[in-house]
Amino acid sequence: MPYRVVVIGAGFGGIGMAIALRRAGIDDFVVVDRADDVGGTWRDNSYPGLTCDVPSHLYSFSFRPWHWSRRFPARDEILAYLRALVAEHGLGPRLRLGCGVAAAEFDRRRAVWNLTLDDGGTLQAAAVVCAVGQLGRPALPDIPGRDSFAGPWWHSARWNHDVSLAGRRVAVVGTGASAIQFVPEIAKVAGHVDVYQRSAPYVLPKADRPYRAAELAVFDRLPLVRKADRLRVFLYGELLTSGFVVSPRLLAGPMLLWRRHLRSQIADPGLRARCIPDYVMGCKRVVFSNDWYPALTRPNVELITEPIERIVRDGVIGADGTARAADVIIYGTGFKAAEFLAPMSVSGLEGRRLQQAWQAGAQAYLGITISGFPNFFMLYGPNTNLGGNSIIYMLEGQIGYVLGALRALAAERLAWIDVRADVQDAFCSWVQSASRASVWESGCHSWYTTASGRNTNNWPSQTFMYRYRVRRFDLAAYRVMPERPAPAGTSAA
Amino acid sequence: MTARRGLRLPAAVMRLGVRQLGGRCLDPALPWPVQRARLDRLARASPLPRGTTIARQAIAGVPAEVVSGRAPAARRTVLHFHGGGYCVGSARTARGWAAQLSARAACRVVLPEYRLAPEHPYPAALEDARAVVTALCGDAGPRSLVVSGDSAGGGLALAVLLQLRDAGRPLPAGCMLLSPWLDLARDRRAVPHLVRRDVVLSPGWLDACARAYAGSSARAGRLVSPLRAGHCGLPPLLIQAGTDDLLAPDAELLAASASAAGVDATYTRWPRMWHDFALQPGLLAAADSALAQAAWFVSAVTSGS
Repeated sequence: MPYRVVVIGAGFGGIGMAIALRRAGIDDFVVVDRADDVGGTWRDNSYPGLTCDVPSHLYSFSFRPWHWSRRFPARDEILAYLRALVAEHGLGPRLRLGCGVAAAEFDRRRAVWNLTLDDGGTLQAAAVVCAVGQLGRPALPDIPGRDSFAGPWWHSARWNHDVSLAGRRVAVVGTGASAIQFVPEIAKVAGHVDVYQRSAPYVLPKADRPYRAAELAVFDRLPLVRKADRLRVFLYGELLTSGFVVSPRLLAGPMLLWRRHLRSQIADPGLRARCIPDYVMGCKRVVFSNDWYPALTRPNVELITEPIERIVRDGVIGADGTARAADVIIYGTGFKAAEFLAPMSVSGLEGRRLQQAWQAGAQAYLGITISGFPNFFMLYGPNTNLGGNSIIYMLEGQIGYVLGALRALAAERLAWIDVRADVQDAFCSWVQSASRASVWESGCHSWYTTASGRNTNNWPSQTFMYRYRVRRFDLAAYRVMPERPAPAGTSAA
Repeated sequence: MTARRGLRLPAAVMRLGVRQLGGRCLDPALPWPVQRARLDRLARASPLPRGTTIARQAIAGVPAEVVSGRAPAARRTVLHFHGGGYCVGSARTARGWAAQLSARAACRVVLPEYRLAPEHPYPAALEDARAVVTALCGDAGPRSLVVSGDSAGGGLALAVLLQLRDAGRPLPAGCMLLSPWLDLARDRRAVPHLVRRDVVLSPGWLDACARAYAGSSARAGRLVSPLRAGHCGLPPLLIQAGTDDLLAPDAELLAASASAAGVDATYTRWPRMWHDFALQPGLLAAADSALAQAAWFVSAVTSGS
């Protein structure tokens, strides 16, 4: 018997979906994940100094506030939160870990999805919820000679904890959100750190600190206070988002904050000049750190803005010909965010392949459903990433929408639903036209856009607007297939 | 998402207005001429987009209106049969919809005035319909022709397709059915919740129409009730229906039967919408959404022509 729902991915999205299914009384489901533990990107990433960029009170499900120990949650505390959710809702028996999905194929006749697993096994499901996220597959730069390096090297999302960096010469490639966090940590132990920067990030101060015991007591006794703080953080995020999507002029406050941050932390005008981004704030991900700039001023850290020419056996050679020796290379070069769902092969109605449908870049109605792929739902899909707010807020909207769709399937006795091509087209042209006004299409190269500059990742409006759009499942936006076959007597030719 | 001009009425307000139509026009106690006159008067309320031209001409001897929007009409043609239970209605009842579709899909829309029962019972309407389809197929070629119909017109459209298919004639590129009436022999009182929720149709009026069109014996015939025929070999279908419609089961059963027969059937269901709601674009948001889908369908199926 096919499952009613298979959820792919056991990160925030998958676990949130599973809890929602449980609460809706839908028990016939399974959550699969390629790794051996829950947690998604928080499980994969384990680099030193890993914390969340969104304050803890907002980076949690609305239905489950948590006794967070700090303003910005660290990796281990987030993983503990997710594991607690799994335990609280008894999701253990529903998890199938160490089981990646290689292919998904829709069987129109039986109206089921056939999933092929990495180990050759199979699963059948009436509906698939794909919660694999956007930041699951590390991206490595195409630098000549990358594999000729003799020493250990790794990507920040696959940290090698067996190699001690104490006293070693470390080359770090990239200055994105991950490098910002781990460079200050490794600089404390390493002998020397060379940081290779392509473009400087905007670094805003991070108002992080542990909560005092008295504060925690207030939060626990007066849940409204924690909720109010959640709202405060959300509104700040909406302000930042408005700056990104409405007008960069709204970013005057954050710009002032960044300038003061830079000036107070870096005294050397030469170094400061190299830390000034050459693009509009928000075009690339804005990061938050109090120790990034100070780390760059350490005597054992060098910021190199010269491009990398190639990598050799024992180090890195810059475009100006300077060779710098390295014992270890760490790539903080981000993720293949534009390749949604890859390397999974997905084929829908008439054998249409997702890769073909997405040739010009990923797109989906509300970031959730794709025309031609019935009963297939994505969480945190195309154009639902945010530059300035919490993804969990988006996930909760998406989970509610998918649940609405699953309920409609049952209540209306439908075999499948498939978003109308005209509805998806109209939605996507709106996304594209709205994106043109945003900072993401202001001319920088970032993971938010395709190589041609088309925004495939970010939601081009305020966050609450997204929640408004997904507030209920809109059946009229779908083509539907009735469940029952034509009763006998009506089909006799 | 798309820019919409004009005022859209809340569905609840429209529903009240439509209930008046049901009560005052489609009443089996009224003589047919009175129903026809009242329906025509009501149809005038439906707005036409600026720049619409309407030409009256005879096609294969059948009088018809040819509606063209402001967009330069491409070669593609939509042939739409109006509804009205085979007894009432005219090109005018579908004119607003036709004008909007013509503008959106860059096509001309032909609205034939097929002969009505009880003066001209079955198969008069079907003969007229077939003559017009054959003439238009000869004009522009079947690949740029989409046949369409609402309510009884939907039944007529499907019946013509079945006739052409069985005769081995070339078929139009696609067929759109809006709240189609596909089974004249079905007992509509058997689904009491639909009888309660439908604000346009009543089982009594449908019975009167069926009697006038096909008598009592021929009602289950496959060209009168094309739901009862086999549906393999049909061109792509677009089926649109509201859920608060006595005829909703016809749309649903056709969608199931046609796709089981391998036909590319696109069926969309609008919750809480009434019979023929799709004919009210410009007034009703759900009808705009249905029109956008119809325009997409016309472009999609005729794009190869």
